[in-house]
Amino acid sequence: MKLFDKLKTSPAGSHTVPAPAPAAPVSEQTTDLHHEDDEILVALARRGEGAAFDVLVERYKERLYATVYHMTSNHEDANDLVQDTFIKAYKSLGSFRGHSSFYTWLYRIAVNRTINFLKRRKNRNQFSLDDMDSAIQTDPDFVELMSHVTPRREAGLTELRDKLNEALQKLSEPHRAVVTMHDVQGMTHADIAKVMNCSEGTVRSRLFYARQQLQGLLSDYL
Amino acid sequence: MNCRKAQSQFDDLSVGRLPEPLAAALRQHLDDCTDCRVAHQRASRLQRLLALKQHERPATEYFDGFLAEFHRRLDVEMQPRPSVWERLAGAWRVEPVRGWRFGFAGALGMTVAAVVLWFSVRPANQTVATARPDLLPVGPTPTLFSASVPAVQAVPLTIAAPLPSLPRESWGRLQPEMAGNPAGSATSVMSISAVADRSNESLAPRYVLDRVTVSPASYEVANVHF
Repeated sequence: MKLFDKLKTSPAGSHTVPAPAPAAPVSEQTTDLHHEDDEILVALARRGEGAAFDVLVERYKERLYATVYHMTSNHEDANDLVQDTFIKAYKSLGSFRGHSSFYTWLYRIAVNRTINFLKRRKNRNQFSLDDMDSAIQTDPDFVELMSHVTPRREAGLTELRDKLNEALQKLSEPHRAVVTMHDVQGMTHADIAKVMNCSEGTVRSRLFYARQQLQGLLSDYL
Repeated sequence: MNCRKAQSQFDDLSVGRLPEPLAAALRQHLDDCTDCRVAHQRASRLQRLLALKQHERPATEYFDGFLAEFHRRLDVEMQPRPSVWERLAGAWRVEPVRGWRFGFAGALGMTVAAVVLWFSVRPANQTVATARPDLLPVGPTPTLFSASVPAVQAVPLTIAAPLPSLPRESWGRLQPEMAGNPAGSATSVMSISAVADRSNESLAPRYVLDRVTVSPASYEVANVHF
């Protein structure tokens, strides 16, 4: 049965909370679903197809994780927050109206939860002990940065990571979120405005002030 | 193009989102304006530096158990949570053996409370009942406050209710205990004269306080030595 047919024939009663997804993460049906759009997967998940939501989790977990990690600078916290985000999204599928894309909606949940978490976790600086991935060694910007061997710039990879995280942690939560989404994740102003539920002007203003602050904190590397 | 507008469009220029005519105007402005050129260079360096954080990510196998963990947490979340009434009932629910213990402890506590209450009320009646002029506790007041306690010298007070009489034998037993009290050294004296109808032993004696004279009180402690 085609997916669209399935959507048409399945009961469209008022959705509250879908039934728990099956424990098996990958099935034949799931592999079929991997090629479907978010809208179809969301519609299937709202009708109780747990496998459809599994595909959405697989699709966005790493991107979501990266954003949350760059805001928290801690892998364990990021993992917990992303898990919470998906659970919240699954339970709130009924309230998703489709005015924005599922990805934007998911991002909004994640960013709001992370900001709330960071407000509660003030002044607790925890940096991950994990190293950066090896691809950074070939990154032209990193090579260029490291090639300027001055006494100030003899920082190793670990020190650079710590300095970046330390500087980001000094920003307020909304400013950090904007910088992370724009400068690290490469999102547009319009997308960030949708995620943060504010105007593009506010996003640009926050970016401006956050960069002013970061330029002072990272002046040794600029 | 002014500097403010130019600086607000650095982001769009760096990612190529600016329309070509506007991008050309901005480049022209950067060539002409040193402040904006420096600001643009610093902003670009900062963006490149922050972009390095993209490499800061866990290994791919870090996410291997992510979906299983999600299902486990979701199962926990979807468990029906007990309502407020159920939680209250659960808090009050006790095991049978523990229930007996609670019952026993409660009964014991109430018994002890009743006994304490009864003893706390009874001595007041007995004190009045034993009040004879020669048995009154007229011992010295504590020396520490002797200078400040006003002297009470007579007691015109009638106890209206008939009081149970005390056997005469018990008066004799109590007498030696009071003998050691130096009544003369007392600064506060209460005298109660018993008016008892000796002809009729069945009637309880009536105690009459003749008068009360209280000298002006002074709360200044003159001779207190700590």
